[in-house]
Amino acid sequence: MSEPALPRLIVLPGLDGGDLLFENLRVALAGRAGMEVVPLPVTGPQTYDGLADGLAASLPQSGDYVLLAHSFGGPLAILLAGKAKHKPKGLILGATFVRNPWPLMGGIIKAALPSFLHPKSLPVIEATLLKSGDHETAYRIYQHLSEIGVNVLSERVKTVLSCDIRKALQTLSIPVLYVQGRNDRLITAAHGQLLQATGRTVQIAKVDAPHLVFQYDMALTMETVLLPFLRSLI
Amino acid sequence: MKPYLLSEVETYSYLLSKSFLQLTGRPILPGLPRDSAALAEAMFNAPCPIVSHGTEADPIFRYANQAALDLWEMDWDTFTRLPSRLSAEINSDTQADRDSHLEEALKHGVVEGLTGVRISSKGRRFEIRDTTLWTVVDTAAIRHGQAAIIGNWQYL
Repeated sequence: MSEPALPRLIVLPGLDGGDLLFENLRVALAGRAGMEVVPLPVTGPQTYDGLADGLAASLPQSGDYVLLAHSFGGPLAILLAGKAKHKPKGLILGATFVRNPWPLMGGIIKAALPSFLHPKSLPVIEATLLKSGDHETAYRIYQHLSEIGVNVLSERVKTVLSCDIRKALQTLSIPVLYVQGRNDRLITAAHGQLLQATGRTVQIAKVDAPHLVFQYDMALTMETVLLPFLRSLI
Repeated sequence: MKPYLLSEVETYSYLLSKSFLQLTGRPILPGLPRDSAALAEAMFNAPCPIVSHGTEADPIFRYANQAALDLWEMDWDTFTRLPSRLSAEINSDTQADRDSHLEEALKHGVVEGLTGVRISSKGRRFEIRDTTLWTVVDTAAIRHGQAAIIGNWQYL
């Protein structure tokens, strides 16, 4: 007997705003459910409210879907789920936060951003976001961030530093799955706990991954974490 | 430390120069010194970009002179740990063109007059022209990699 159709995944990217880091998710999901990455605009407001206003029209108007978001995209997914006329069946949030994750370091991070877009920063990208030795992904992230430009990135970092969407999360009644990387060196486990304490129906799944929780061992994550959640929504 | 001061770079520069001469019958650059240290420095500072990757299944860059590092907007440490396929856009016909040129150079030793589109670390696309691609071999015919010297280029 064939499996009932799973909800379509509508994916909101992280700070880079593109589909670069979802290739492995797409491969792992292939044939089981549809998937679409909604790229973040590089013009116009980069605040969560501004982005949500602009992207609300990108959400499906019919059919079952789930919003999946990584890091920067998490608060945006929460806002969009609240705004959507045709509601998602659930949320999958990876390595994200509901309020400023770096209250003490934010100013330093923002000031250091221009120097981040220099080849010397590749080891920092690798150490912060990736599995050790993944030079290729570090390079591709660097290349992509360089194309976006420091102004847009700076605006998005500013958005992170002023983020607090706990109220929006409190109003959501749809199931939320929080995917936390055991080796995440950017967003600590405390942010998953805060999300769980704030939301009504948040479950946490831990995977052996760094900050990019949808980049590594996706076949395993798909089978043990994402598919069971998607099936629970049918 | 300047890369050309590394002994392995000095040795590889000599190999690049020697194999180019063997395959094309002409020197890789005019007026190169015979001393290997001076040759390595001259090649590194030559105005034409020169790059080379090794013999790995997914070849990793093992050499780039300063002109090539400037063109791809990278430093030596970054460049020489990357798969060379990242020098061109991943999701495009460019990779297929590049692969066929590399195969041709493996088969014939050298291919001349190549053009192609490449992309820098900062996402700047440029066309390389008048490029010679050759297989780097030593006197015992052991293959050490493939290399390219770019005659000229233009940002797109």
